[in-house]
Amino acid sequence: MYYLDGQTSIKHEISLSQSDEDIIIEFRDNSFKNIVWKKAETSFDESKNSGTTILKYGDFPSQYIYLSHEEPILDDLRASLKKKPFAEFLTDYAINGKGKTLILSLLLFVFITAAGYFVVLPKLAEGFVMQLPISWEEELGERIYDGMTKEEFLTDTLVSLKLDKEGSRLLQDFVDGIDKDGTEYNIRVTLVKDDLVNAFALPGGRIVVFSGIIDLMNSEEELAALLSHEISHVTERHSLRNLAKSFAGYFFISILTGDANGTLAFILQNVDTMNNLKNSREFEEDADNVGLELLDHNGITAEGMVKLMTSLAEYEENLIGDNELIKFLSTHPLSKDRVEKAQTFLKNQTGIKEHKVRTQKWRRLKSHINLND
Amino acid sequence: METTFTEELVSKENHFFNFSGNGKDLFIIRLVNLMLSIVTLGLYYPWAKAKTLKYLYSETHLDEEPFTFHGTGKEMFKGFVKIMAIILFLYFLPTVVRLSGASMSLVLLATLITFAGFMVLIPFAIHGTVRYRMSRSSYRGIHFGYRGSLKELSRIYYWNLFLSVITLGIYVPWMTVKLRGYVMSNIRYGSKEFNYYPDGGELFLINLKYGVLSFIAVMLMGFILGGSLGTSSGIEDDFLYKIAVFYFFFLITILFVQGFYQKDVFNFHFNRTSISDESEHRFFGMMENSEVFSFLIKNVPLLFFTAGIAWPWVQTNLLRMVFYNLQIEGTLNLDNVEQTEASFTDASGEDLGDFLDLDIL
Repeated sequence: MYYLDGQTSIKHEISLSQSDEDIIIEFRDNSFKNIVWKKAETSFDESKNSGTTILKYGDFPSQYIYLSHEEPILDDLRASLKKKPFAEFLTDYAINGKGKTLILSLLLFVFITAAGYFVVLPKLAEGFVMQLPISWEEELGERIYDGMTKEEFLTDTLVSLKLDKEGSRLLQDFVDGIDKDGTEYNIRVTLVKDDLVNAFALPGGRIVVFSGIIDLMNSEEELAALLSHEISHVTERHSLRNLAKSFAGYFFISILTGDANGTLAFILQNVDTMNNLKNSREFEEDADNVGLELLDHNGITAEGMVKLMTSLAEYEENLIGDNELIKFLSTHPLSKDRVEKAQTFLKNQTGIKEHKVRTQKWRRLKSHINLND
Repeated sequence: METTFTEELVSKENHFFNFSGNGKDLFIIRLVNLMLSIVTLGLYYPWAKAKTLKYLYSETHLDEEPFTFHGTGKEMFKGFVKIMAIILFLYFLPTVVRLSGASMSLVLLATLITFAGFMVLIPFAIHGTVRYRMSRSSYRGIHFGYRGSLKELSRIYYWNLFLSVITLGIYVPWMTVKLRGYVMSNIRYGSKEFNYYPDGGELFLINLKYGVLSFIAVMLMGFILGGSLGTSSGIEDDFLYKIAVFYFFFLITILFVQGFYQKDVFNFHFNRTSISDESEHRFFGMMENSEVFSFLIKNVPLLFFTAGIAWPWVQTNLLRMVFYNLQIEGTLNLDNVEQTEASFTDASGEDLGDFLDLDIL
């Protein structure tokens, strides 16, 4: 075993002895006086692979003793030296375990990763986000809405949405006639003049509907179904929750691949994206279900939902066919599945009422859109 | 300066490196790191990094004596906090200015500040990382040190960056060797100095050679695959399947070419490095094609079939191969090194380098 004084790289052969509190270093060639180290301030590191133990003492530049990890003096010395921080202790303990440890560790690793990624972190993120006040959501929604519609915020890449003021007023009128079951959200709808068959909800209560999707509709129940679906996105706070889940996923992947290979990180990020799409689809299903409940609450027949989904399914098939890949990559479950769900709901529905005022509003809106096409 | 070593110099008295770590240890370290990181929502990361580096260093030997890493999670955490504060500030400055309703010109100014700020960060990251790492590394009780100046490094960095931009990237190999040269020549091991002899032209040729090789390899692969994938495979979602197969073989081809490229770069850099006291002692970088090939053949499939879980084993295999092929001229005396370097514990540069994903050491 040898000693390094931290001032030069010369190795001095030594022998060690100990007292209750100290380690005593004697130089073999008697070139220097004995050196005493306090046990409590001596730290140690061991490498099983190279068979060396290193004792370290003092601040920069520290002194060192290098010895074989089999030296008998180490057996009782280890217990009285400076304690390692828990994390390091845990790691060293795990490393020195046997072969079974490896298998167990592997299983543990896979389990923890899966649990963390699919369950723990997303739930945590969602839970956190649900605590945020509605006013924050409304603020966020307004920002996004402004970004889409106000001239001064638009960049070259985004195209301005052509807002239909009169149409929006009529649509808002229609929406106000739907009982929203006591929600705190202020639902405001905007109609955009565009052939696009789409509608979306922003956090906080704003809903944007494209005239293209209304063109596909033939009855007020269909519009009610669409709006119920979008309103559900708002009241269930899907945008925020989706954001939280995506972020949690990304964050987790970052921790996992912290200092590892870039290719691995890239592959995992792609897997993460796939997972995000799956989450989006779950939220869509949720909106369908809550939407149907809302329709029922208003005494509106789910027939509208069935018709709307059927029209959308036809429209989709004309566009993309029945491709498995598209289904996989889609943010919405395919309309065919949604139609079946709505039909099942329809069969069990009771308490459907007529509502003349709502029918009038629908007719006014539909004719406005037809006129302006 | 000779660019390759001759047989006479590679004697038995040379100084040898070796790496004794193994995949199982590294895997367990990573596993514990992961668990603690999850539990602390990522805050454990600096300690995780410290533990990993400590292990890797202590398993690296020169003349059968280990290196030591003295960095602590605490130091790196402090640096981490500092850096996060600066980065968050720079990142959100334009947004905050805009949301507060300021004029477009003020927003533009804020954006420019952010941009300039991020630009300055890179030389700072390099400087800080090298300085911290060197100071926290020791061999036989003597610490390394870095004597370079941030100002000089920045000057070199920006001037060379400018040249690289106006030459549309052709100048990059020259920039690489100039930066490496500056950093290397300012690293000290106690009383000994390092030197590096830049040769941008040769690095450029290496880059060119492998660029062309990658191109040919991919073309060849595509041609061969195209033949076998030409007809319908009878698998549902035929198109998807073909894309997956092509992507897979593409990745493998690139990985293989990369392996040989890195070998040439490794040899190139180390054959131009030396350490001096009263006289100069060369490093030798000796990786051979056959070694790289057997490494790739064994490790790439391993990585693929374990979906990346075997990465710690691959990493230790890689380190073992690398250090096996690194030597220092036998005339170097390692018994007479004196501690001349000061302690430097500010890890913010190191954390910044980590954040910006700079692959310096």
